[in-house]
Amino acid sequence: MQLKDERGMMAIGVALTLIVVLSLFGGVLWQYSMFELKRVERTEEDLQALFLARAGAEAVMGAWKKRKAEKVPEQDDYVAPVGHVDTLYFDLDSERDPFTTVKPANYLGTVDVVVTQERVSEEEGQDEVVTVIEATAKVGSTTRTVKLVTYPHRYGHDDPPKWYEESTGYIRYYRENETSEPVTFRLQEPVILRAKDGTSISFDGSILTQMGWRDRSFAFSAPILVFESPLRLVRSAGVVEDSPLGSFDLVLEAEKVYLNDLEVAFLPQGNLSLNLNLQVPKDFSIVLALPLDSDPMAGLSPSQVSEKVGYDVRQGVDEDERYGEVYFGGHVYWRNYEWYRHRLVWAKVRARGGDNPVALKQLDGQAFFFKNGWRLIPEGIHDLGDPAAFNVQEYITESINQGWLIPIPEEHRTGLETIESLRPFFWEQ
Amino acid sequence: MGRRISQESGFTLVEVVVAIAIITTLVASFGPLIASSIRNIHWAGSRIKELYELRGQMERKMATLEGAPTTITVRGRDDEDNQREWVVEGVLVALRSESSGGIVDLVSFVIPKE
Repeated sequence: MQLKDERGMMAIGVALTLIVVLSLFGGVLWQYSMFELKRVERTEEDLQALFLARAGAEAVMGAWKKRKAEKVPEQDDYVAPVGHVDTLYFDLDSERDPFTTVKPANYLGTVDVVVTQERVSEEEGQDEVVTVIEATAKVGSTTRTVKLVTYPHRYGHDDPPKWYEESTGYIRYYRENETSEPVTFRLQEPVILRAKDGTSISFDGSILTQMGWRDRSFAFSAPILVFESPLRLVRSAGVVEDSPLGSFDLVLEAEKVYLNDLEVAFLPQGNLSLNLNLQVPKDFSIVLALPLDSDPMAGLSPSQVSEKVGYDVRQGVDEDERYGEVYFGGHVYWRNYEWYRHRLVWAKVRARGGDNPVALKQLDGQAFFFKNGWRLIPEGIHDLGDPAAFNVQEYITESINQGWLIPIPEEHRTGLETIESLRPFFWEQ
Repeated sequence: MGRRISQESGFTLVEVVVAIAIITTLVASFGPLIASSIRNIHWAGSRIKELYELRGQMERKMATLEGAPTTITVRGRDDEDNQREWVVEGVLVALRSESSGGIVDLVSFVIPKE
C-alpha cells in the first residue's frame, strides 16, 4: 500500500505543534509559579529579618540610652557599646527572654549589630559625633539591614520643630509646638524675640477684648529644653514699644529646663496722656510648666520631690501638683522699660530704658524644682500700675518660701552631660 | 461513472485516532502541571498581600507596645575596649500567621519611650 496523499499527515503535525506549544507554555508557567513561590518565601524571610534587625538595633539603642553596664559594680561610670556587639539569636524554643547570645538548637534567625561613631563638624571649631547603630538580621538565606542614627542635637530651628528662625531668633507661630524629643536652642542671635506680626495690631478696645491678652503667648513643649544661647524675651526698647499690649508669656513646658542667661522685661502702664496705648502695661515673662497634655505623669510627683529635699522643705511641697526641674545657668535679669514723651514731637510717646536691669541673684546658677505653672513675672503686677510698688526680688524670695521654687540639693541635680543619652535616634532604612 | 472517494480531503480514521491519543497524552501530562502552576501563582499573589497586612499589624503592635515584657542582654565592648554587658528591658512583640501556606512568626523588641 502506498500513501501517496500526505495531507492526512497534517493532523499529526498539528498534534506535534500542540506538544511544543503546550510544553513551552506549561514550562514557562511552571517556572513563573516557582519564581512566585520563591518570592513569597523571600518576602516572608525578609519580613522576619526586618523585625529581627529592628529588635537588635532597638536593644543596642537601649544599651546606649541606659549607658550603664551591668556586672561591673566597681565601675558605675556610664559606658555604651561600641563596635561589634555579640550576635543575637532568637530562640524558638524559649518562652522567656528568647533573644540570646548563646546559639540555640532551634532559632529563627540571627542579628549582628555594629555601632560606629562618626565625627562631623557642623560649625568651625566644633566637633560633633554622630552615633550609627547598624543591625543586620539573617533569616534563612535572606539578610536585612536597618540603621539607627543619632544626631548630636535636635535644635529648635531644625525642621521639625522649626520653632524659630535660626538667623534672627524670631519665634515661629507654628501650631506644632510639641515634640517628644529633647530640644536644644542655639541661636546666632542671642535673643528670642516675640513674633513681629504683633506689631501691626493697632490698639482698639474691641480688638483687644476679642483677641485676649494671653493670645500673645507661646509655648515650647518637649521633655527637656536646653537653652545654650541666652534667652532674652525682648531685644530693645523699640521692640517693647511696637509690641502688642498686655502679657507675652513664653511657656516652657518641660520636665527639665536648662537656661543660660535669662532676661525678662516689663513696661508699666503709662500716665503721660490719655493715649489708650499706655493704659495697659506690657510684660514679657517665662512660665515654667509641665507637658501634662501629652503626658499626665510628666515631671515629679510631690512624694518624689519630698524624698529628694530636706526635712524642713517638705512642708512646702504641694500635694496636688507636679514638679519639674529648672537650672538657671548664668544670670537672670529683670529689665524695666518706661514710656516717655518724644522731645520733638510732643504727642509721640516712646519706650526707653532697660539700661540698668535688676539682677535676680537668688536664681543665678541655682537649680529648683518648680511647681507647674510658675510665672517669673506675676500676673498681679498689672493691677499695681506703679512698678515701684513691686519688688521683684521679694517676689522671687516669696516664690521660694511658698514652694513655687524648691531648691534642688546638689546630689539630686541632673547635669547636662548625663542627659546626653536622651538624644533621639532616628531610623534610616 | 463512480465517485473517487480517495480524492476527497480529510483525515483517515487512523490519523484521527493517533492525533487524539497524542493530545490526550499531552493534556494528561501537562494539564496538572499547568493547573498547579496557576494555583500557585494565585496563592502567591494573595500571600504577598497577606504579608503586607501582617507587616501593618506588626507595626501597630510595636507602636502600642502590645507584647510581653522581656530583657535582652547586649554583650560587647565599650569605647575603651572593655568587655561589658547591658541588660535592656523592653517588650517582646510577636505575631504568628497561620495559613494554608504555612506558619510565619514575626518577632521584634521595643523599648518603651521614657
